[in-house]
Amino acid sequence: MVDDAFISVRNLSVGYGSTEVQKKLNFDINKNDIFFVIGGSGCGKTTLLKSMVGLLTPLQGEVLYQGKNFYEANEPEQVAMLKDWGITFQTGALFSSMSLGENVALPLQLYTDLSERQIAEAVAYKLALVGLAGFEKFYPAELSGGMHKRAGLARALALDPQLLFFDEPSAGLDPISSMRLDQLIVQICQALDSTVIIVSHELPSILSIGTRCVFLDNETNTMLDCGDPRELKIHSSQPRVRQFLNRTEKSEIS
Amino acid sequence: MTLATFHIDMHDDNCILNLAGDWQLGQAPLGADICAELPSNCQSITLITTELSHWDSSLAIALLQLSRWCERKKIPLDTQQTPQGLQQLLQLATDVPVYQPTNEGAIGGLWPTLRRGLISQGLQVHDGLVFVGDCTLALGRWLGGRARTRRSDIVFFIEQAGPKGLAIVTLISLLVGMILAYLGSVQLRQLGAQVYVANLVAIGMVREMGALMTGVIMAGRTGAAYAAQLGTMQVNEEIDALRVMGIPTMEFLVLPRLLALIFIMPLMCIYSDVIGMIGGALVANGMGVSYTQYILQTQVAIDWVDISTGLIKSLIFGFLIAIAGCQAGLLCGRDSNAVGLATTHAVVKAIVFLVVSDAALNILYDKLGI
Repeated sequence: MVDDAFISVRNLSVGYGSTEVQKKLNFDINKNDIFFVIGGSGCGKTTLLKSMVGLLTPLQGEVLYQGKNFYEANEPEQVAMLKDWGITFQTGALFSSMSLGENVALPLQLYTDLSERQIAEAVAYKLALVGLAGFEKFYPAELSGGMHKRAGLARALALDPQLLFFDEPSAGLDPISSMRLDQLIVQICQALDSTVIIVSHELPSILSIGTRCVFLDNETNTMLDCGDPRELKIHSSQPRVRQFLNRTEKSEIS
Repeated sequence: MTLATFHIDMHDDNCILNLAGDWQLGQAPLGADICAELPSNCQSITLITTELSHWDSSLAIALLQLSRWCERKKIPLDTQQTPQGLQQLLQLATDVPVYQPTNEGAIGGLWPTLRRGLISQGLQVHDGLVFVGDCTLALGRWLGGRARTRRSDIVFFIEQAGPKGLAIVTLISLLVGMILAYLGSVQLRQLGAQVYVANLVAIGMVREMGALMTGVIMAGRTGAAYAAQLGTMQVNEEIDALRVMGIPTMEFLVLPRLLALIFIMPLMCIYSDVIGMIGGALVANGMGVSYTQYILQTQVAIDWVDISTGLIKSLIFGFLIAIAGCQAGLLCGRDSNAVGLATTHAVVKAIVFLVVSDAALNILYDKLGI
């Protein structure tokens, strides 16, 4: 493990109350990684994400962002960290009482001193980036699920985040939109010099854009392996990881 | 950090736009300002970024505006000499054309607006009547034992509306009884007839305030809860799930709530009457009327007719509160805002229904001489 890792997860246990969902997690995420958290349904991927973004205090251990622990930081530091993060939720989590334009404008209004005109242009751009140009005046209730997701991404991108979290970005999207979203993630990551953390079990995405990944197992409640998904697919020492990445039955991997 | 700037050089018809400096959000020129500076006679635009240092999305934001401007003017925009990442971001943003709404907004003007308003009001009344009709039919099926209503649901809602609401009903009824007693005693004392406070409180509670106050509490507590529950189910597509399973929402969702309220309201009303009279007795006792006197006077003051007028009111109130709550919930929109609206509608409607029906019943009782 390198000490200059962008994010380091140290001996982390996450869960609710007395239930440990995942334990003894140790991995690093480097700058500009497209890092995937993978594993079967219900293994605790989203729980780990919640702990990483500050929504759920870990039961044990710590997550260090450039050496800083979110849960031990004081409030101004926490706000500064949150400003650098963009988070896209599974279903978009748009504010339903606001139009798409207002949803994307909200972080800009609260955290920057941009003028109304500057905000309007920024909103137009962010929405165009996710393929929703011209939808500023629409309300979330008038849009489809895929559009919610993309609008959620536009809102997450509003402040040019250094760190982007995605919870199941391509679930519920058609293969073309899903591929477009993957490309978008790669290009944003390159162009804006961001780091991306994605919770997903979409094999095509994991294998095409993932630079590193961690596999969470729901039988042993801990991580089994961490590394480049294309490497792990062939060379992982853990049969269950190979089985997952090759999409095969248990018996076919010995 | 150097300031973000742009220069325009004309070479014949080709316009060379030189972007320089640090382009950072908040400090960069607006896309619209760049477009406004461009000469009207230019036939093509070439972007140059040799003097560009750091840039963030502000540059892409400005370029999107520029590219849309060029598209409108049908001028080619050459971005070959800009950073690769910027080209990619611009490509992504222009991949999907700007959405143009096809249907124009509703036509304005006094008459069309008035007409639309009247039609929607009419439809609401119609929907309300249809809902009451459907409810009555479902009630009929339930009495015939043919409704798909779970008994456990009815018990659950009775528990929610009744025992769990006792505390607030106790407090309000006690205070209302005391208020009635104070109100009466001020006048009656002048005539030396304090003992008639018992009559006033008994008749006031039993015929009017018992039913009305429990009604108001139930509208705020239970009716609002019904609207919020059903509204959230609507948002979560749970009601759609029931419909496609072929389970009638009226029997499965509305009937248990309606039956619970119809069952619990008269009981709560009697309870409220008793508590109100206790409140009255406490106040009267402070004014020199003994408890025995008070009880005897109360027995003289009210009879079974008075009690049943109050009970009939509470039955009708229960029906109306459940209808207002459930209808608002089932007609709820699909977002969190709509749930709030549905709850407000449920409470406002229920209270209007209560007061209007109370007035109507009083007139009816008066005509019938009871």
